[in-house]
Amino acid sequence: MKSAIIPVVICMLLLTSCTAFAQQSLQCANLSLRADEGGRIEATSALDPDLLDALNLRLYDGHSEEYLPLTAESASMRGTTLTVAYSCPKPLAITATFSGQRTGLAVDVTIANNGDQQEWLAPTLEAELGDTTGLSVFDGHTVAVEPQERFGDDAFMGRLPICSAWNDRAGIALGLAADEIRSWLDHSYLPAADGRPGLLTTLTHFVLDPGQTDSVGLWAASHPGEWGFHEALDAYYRTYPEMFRRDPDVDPRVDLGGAQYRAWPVGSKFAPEICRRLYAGWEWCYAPFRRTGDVVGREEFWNYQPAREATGVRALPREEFLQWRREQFRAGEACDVVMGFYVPAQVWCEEQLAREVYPDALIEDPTARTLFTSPWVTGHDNERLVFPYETSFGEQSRVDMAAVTEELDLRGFAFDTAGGNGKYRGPALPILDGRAWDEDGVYCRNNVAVARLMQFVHTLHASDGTEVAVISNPNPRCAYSSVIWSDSMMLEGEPWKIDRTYGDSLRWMAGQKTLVWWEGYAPETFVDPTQATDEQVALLMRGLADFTLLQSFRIGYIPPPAYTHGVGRLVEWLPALTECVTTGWQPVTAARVPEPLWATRYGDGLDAMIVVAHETADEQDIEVAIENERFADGAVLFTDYDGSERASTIVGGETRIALAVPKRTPVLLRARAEVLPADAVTAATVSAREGLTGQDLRLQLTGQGPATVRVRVPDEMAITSARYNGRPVAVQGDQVAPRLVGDGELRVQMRSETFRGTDRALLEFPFASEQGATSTIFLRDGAGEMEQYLAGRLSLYFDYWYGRINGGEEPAIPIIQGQQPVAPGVVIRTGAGGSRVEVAGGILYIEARDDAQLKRVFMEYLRGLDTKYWAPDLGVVSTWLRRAKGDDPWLVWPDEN
Amino acid sequence: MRRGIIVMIILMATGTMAAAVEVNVTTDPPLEAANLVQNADMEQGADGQPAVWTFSTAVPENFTLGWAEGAGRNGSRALHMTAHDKVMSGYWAQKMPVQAGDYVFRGYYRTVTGRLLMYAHGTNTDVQPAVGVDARAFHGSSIASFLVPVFVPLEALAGPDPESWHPFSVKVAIPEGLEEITLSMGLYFTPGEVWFDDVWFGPATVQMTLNVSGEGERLESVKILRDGSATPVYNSANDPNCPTGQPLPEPFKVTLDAVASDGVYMIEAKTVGGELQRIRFPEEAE
Repeated sequence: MKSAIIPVVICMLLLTSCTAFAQQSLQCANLSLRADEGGRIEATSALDPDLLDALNLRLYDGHSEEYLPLTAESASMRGTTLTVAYSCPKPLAITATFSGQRTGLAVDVTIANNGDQQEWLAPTLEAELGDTTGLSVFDGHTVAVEPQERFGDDAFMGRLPICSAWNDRAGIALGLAADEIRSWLDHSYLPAADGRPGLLTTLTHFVLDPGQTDSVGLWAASHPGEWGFHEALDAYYRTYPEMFRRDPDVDPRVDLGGAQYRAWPVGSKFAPEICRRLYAGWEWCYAPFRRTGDVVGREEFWNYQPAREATGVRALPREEFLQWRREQFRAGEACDVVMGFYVPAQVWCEEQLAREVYPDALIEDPTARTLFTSPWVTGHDNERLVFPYETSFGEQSRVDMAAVTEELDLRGFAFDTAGGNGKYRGPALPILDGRAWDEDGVYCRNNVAVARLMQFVHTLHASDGTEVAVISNPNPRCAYSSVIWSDSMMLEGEPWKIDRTYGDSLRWMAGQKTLVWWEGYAPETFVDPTQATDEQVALLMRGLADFTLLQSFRIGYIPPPAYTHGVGRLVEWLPALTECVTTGWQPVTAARVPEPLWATRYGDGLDAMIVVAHETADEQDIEVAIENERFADGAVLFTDYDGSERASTIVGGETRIALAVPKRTPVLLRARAEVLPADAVTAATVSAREGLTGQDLRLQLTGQGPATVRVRVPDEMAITSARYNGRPVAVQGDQVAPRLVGDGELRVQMRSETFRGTDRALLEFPFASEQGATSTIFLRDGAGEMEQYLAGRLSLYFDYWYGRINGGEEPAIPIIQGQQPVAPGVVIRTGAGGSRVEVAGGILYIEARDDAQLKRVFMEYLRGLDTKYWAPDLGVVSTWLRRAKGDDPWLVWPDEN
Repeated sequence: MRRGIIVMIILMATGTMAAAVEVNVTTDPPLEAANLVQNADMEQGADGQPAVWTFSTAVPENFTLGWAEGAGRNGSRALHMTAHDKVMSGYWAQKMPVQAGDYVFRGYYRTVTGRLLMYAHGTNTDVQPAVGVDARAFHGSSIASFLVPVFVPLEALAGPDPESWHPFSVKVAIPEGLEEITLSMGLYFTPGEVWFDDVWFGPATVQMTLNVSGEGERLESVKILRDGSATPVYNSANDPNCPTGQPLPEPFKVTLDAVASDGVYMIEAKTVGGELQRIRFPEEAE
């Protein structure tokens, strides 16, 4: 197809004639549009007036393999929307509306086929470029620096729905609206030649039957140039922010890492504690069915002859299997994770079932693998590729997924093989949306079916009203839509899979959603463990753990238990890493560091955290220059993540910090305060001492004049006092307003409204000792399910500590209901006037207004306790390490001393 | 190369006398005869190309192939390949007819670096339900250059000795209805270099017969140990045909049914005089 487009693009001009056309203009974000008298849409970027000349709508005809000449018939403004109507030699009604959408321009194209033939059309948004000197181009997958010939991949899978061309001042980005679900898209760049300007284009396909109408949302934005195509990503995320965060109505625990089979099945009574300590929020409940395609386990499908003998629980009689499944889901939920019911994205179905019951869903695609005859989903089935949308199997999948949601009170589905590969041309094709065509005719790619099924999942609800989430396994060579409609994802691989950047494009697609690595260290893939010495294995594991740490920070992945379980170094970093990923990866780092260092930013404003690291063998002394204006209003001041002191200078609105960046260890900076105006301060040294009950923030500031200092105030806390050079300063919410007089100290103290008293009192509470329980947990008479659950979790916490970690007796702190608490005791209750964690009269009160708040403050309190009762737990990796390092299982490396 | 029979004459120095123990191992079927691989020792071929074996990859330019003299394990030649990049895998392969049953695919490789994949695979979609097999073994190293040396010191990756040959083995269960498979050996998406030789594909188990003669010395015990297992495959001390405290019958013979054909065995014969002799099967026959 591409070869047919190129010569046409070169010779065609847009909007060659115009009738009844009124000159109109539109301003949105950095773009100015003007429909000229000839019908051409002149466009200018405010960031570089020479970069962009026009934004054209074009229409490619897949039958004639030529672009159709479009005539602009009219243009009108309604509010802030410019609408242009076009005609062409074919019986098509074509309109395009141009309107501002946050940081971008929305171009909605609607085409009605008024003829009696099926039409194959490619609506194309084309940026006509002015000065192309020094342009680099991103084609949705790779970058070309100053391409001198046509540039653009010819693949759909693994490609982002946007492209960009930029110089060091500005760029222009085009693409599909983020919520578009299409079987095909393409981006390309043509450098200027023979009097024709440089062109950047994006297109998708319409297949329109007679009388049919389709609309597509296209997108354009002009962005700064400094951070290359990451600027385009930034503009895209900011245009469609809701598409690049998880759905706000699903269970927020899907933002955390995966439990990686610590809760499916539950193999230890300590699984809840292991999951919590390893920041696991969801589980991948692998194939909880007997027959692929029958997720319910329906009686009529139960008895069949599988390709291979069923084993394990799948060999149980139906009722026993279903009972086992219910019990496993209940047990997993007690680990406080979202139990993701595994489905192979419903694109695989047991072969006999697929052929005999759902033949209309079969995908026949010689370019894709459509049949597994070796063990795959269940191990005993042969599985066939199917299309789960607008087919009998699609309908049944929706019925079945709703049924298991109700049966198991699900909060999530785990979509495996969610990439969306395979072209469907079966009997349901005429009624499908998102169709495209290729040399073999019309098709609908499986990504359309997968995305529609993901949308369907979001219409399901758990019994408490929580929307059901989609946790998926796409892979970097997936369809973009599979990522857009997921809430949280894994990359089925290690940080070193293929190469160090294999997971990057998945991050670009995911925006600020959670990504996790999967698999594990698998040292046997590097060395033969039967030949390698224990020391060699330990060295290998250390290196892989360090690499995991750095890559996780670099591109925003949470390492799951196969990487962290028993690896103290990673467990130490997990709180920070998890906070970074859940705060949200930012494509525009806005932190300049010299090579070979790299920097990554998470969060905006006072949520910002910036990680700086390198992958060389020597410590690097450098200065990081942070462009505050890209993510904040004023001069942002940082400490280390743990509050350790950092000195910075503020020059030209930038915060500059000298760093000694160690080898194999990141430096993580956390925003603590923001000074407005930015030039009120020229230097600052900031530190923070924070705990459960309060925070003491010290800012040594050099500056002059009145300033407003916005302070990062943690949840549960409020500023209680602020003093500048010892004198009280006015406080308003999270802001203080000192008048700076040269060098001075601003000291801001915060107190928690929930965690009261002192950290010492809360952390040193005598719950238990090596000799046994030294406290009792008191619940009210008729305590609810949540109160009982949390009481059990507190007791388990100390059983875990004294039993599992210290190898002693489990204290089994008693839990009593309906008795007057006596010291030392712990009261856990809901129905209080507010949230409170406080020791009073020898009794620790953990209470809140409702179950949700009680659970939140309880879990936060456990995080506080973790600072005293810290352990990376045990696990397979620590077994490797212990084998190598004897009694020093927590990974002290031989060459670090 | 002999696979079916091993005869070891081991001279034992006992004072000034020289005695011998003869160990004779046979299998039914003989291992060499049971081998379904053609040109298994890679010695046949012409014009610089090995006979029967073909090479397949989606990116031919990523590979340099060889069949040079002097590179072989026991004989002269071996299959050789170098992958220049990780962009694509590539495999030496040959097809063969099979019947349902349990098989073993084994052979030897020598590698400088790279992740090796040896696998037996095939599908028959002409029957319903379709049947297939895909049995794999990965060996070698996926040394990722970007991890070395900052994250992973080279010494931690000391893998198989590049000067030595190393065995691989894959169990292959052929289902009913599958009539042909392919054996493939190559580099799996890593740069690297590897040689393959002495490949065998045949029944997963064979009958093994052991004849041991003390050649004048009485035998006290005979054991057959499989590499990797502490439990003997055979121990004359547990054989009811070998009375405790008495020398073994002369000549000593024992037949074992269903011995794994992918095993490497150590045969230990101990004389009444206390001399312990060991030989390995089948390695010391090749």
